[in-house]
Amino acid sequence: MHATVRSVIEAAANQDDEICILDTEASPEHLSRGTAQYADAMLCIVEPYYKSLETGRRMAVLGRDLGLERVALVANKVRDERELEAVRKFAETYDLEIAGIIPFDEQMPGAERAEASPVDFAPDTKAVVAIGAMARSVAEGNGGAPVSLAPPEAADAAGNGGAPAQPLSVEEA
Amino acid sequence: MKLAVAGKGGSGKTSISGTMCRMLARDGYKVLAIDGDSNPNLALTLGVPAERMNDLPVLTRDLLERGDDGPKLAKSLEEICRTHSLQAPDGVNLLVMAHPQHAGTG
Repeated sequence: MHATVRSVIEAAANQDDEICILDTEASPEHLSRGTAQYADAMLCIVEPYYKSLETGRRMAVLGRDLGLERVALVANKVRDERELEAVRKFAETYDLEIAGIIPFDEQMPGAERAEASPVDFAPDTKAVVAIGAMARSVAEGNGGAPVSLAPPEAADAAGNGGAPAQPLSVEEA
Repeated sequence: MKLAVAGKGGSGKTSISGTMCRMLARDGYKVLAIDGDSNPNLALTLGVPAERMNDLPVLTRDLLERGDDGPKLAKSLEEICRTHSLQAPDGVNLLVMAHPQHAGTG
């Protein structure tokens, strides 16, 4: 199975308008077997608590060992500034990029319970909006979505949401 | 762009993968989603109806053949997509990897 995943990713076309997204196995073990080796980038999804962050860090190390161009954390289910700060600190300590911050959103487990796609279940909910913004930014090869819990409109109002996302520094609000 | 999404079980990795796929497809990207998880449920997150979950086409090892430097696909990815992929909403193409614990595959 690992060889098949590897071969499919290798063969996946690489035109500008094409995106291939591999949802990997939950254990980090597959990464050491090179399932992601032909990927351009790896996103390690973490929740804002230590054990999850630590797993993400281990996955990021494996991704870097594979030689991936870009390895970044995505903080998911972030409830408040305090949690965001914990993720920022962790990322800073281990010199990891944060590609996106996805706010905690009750609509996401709601979609799961309804056995539906979040995009169909709650298209305008804040987590879906944040994931969409991050996806766009990653697909365009930008450094990262603004690391803030504020919705994109608020970022626009602050005058920093419209420009392509800048390479992230964790100090940035 | 080829993107691998990793994370602990329960981290939301599949919800994020599936939502990214749908949103990018709506933006006009041609999206290929690959479910490599041994407990595959990317299809649901992509919006494939639950009643279709039991007969998802899966990619088995016999699609590989021996190449000069290791295994390679026996057919073009395009051909494999034609016969083995599932069409999800917004035009997302989904390939589901077979896992050894599914009897008869692996």
